[in-house]
Amino acid sequence: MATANLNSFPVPETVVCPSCAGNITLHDPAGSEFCVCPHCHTYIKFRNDVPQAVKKASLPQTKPVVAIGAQIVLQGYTFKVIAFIEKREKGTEYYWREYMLYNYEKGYANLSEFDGHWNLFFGSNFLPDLKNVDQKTQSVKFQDVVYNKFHAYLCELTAFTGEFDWDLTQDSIFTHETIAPPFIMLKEVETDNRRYGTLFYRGEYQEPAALAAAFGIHESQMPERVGIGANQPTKAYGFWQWVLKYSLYALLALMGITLFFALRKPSKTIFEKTFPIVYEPVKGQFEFKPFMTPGFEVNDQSSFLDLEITSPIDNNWLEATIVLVNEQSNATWEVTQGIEYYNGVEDGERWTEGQTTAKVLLSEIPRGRYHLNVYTASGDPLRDQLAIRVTENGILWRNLLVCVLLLTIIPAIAWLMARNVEKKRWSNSDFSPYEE
Amino acid sequence: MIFHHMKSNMHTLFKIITALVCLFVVGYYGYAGYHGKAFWESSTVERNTAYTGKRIYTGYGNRFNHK
Repeated sequence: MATANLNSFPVPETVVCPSCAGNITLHDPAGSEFCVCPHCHTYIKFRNDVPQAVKKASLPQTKPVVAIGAQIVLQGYTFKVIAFIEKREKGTEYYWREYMLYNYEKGYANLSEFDGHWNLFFGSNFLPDLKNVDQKTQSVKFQDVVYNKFHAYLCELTAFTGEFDWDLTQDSIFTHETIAPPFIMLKEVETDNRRYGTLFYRGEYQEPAALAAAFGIHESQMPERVGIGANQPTKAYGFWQWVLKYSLYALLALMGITLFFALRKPSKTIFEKTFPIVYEPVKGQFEFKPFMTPGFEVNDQSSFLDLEITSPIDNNWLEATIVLVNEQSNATWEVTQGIEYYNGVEDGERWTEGQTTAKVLLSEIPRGRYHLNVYTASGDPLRDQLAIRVTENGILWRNLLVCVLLLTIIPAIAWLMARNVEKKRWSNSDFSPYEE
Repeated sequence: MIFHHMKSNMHTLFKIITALVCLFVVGYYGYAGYHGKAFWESSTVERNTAYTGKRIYTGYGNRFNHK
């Protein structure tokens, strides 16, 4: 068992390799029960503190980035690197590397690297809550964070060097990986229940640049990153969250502005009257006698107007050309708007089509006195009424709708980008929630 | 490394663009609200034209100078 609850690292001790008589430095002499001779790579067991050769250990294929015995500080803990291990998923050729880290207060931690992606793993000696992980079939929950199943595999030890407090050559561990970037949770299940049964380890993604600084080396000496790490926090996700936040602020600002103008420039009817209309066939078929309305005031410096025409037509149509005339400047705005309304009964069911009313929007109408010239036509010569209502200000819903749509475009794009990255991440998993 | 910095700069650029778009949209919405400006009017509105008698159903000449 690794020595813990100390105030400083134990004094290293030197032992002699029983195979080659070379000196082996032990950094946790009281805790380490196995080690590998750095000279002849003999795997050694200490029986009653006497080193005994067990077998030859395979040499790791890659050189460790940080040497055994080096001290590094990670997440506020001072560690000594005491072992370097290479493992792979059984049945594959892909290796990953693990650096066993020893802290004199807590014991072992683990720094792993695969394809240039690094994770620092803590067990329950660092995170006591790991004894109470909420397990489900496809996920686990730890400290209110849900981790989703990403991978499951049988570990195979391929090479190792350094010192250990257990016989790692006897390990037969099935690992379940669940992720919640930047975290990853390992559930290690001993297939033979030899030592501990099931244990959880929580890993956190480590940026290579930060690790290089902790190792005291240049970032270029770190293994190159390939692809997206299982629990690598991505910029796309962070960007989406950033965009979402600021777009929501902008939407709130829109609502505030809308409320402000709804109170400051409320909707007001400035003209409303029902006019008799008279069919005048001498002017042409469908034509009615034109008329001019009394004047009315547009009060705001610049406002929009809603012109609404209503006539109780029935199974017929009516069309009005209305000219808004500014009585001071003679500026005009001419609109033509038709209404039609049809109804009937077919197969015992009543149907209707169209409406007896229609609206036209006029934008940026300056303050002043106005009247309307109205030219009416209708398919119903007996039609005798046309109601006109002019409303000033209110809420320009079309503007609000356009702005809301514009403000949702960038978050939508950012979300698609983030989703694309997540799809790429999960493409390495047999448990992807994204359909292929 | 260079690619990493390029990606980082791209995200900064995207953030600046997003911030500018948000500011523009909110600003223009406020401007339009103040001036009673609709982003688009009803399609039948014609400004400062003499009455043309353009009709959906019929077409007729001018009856009186409406100004």
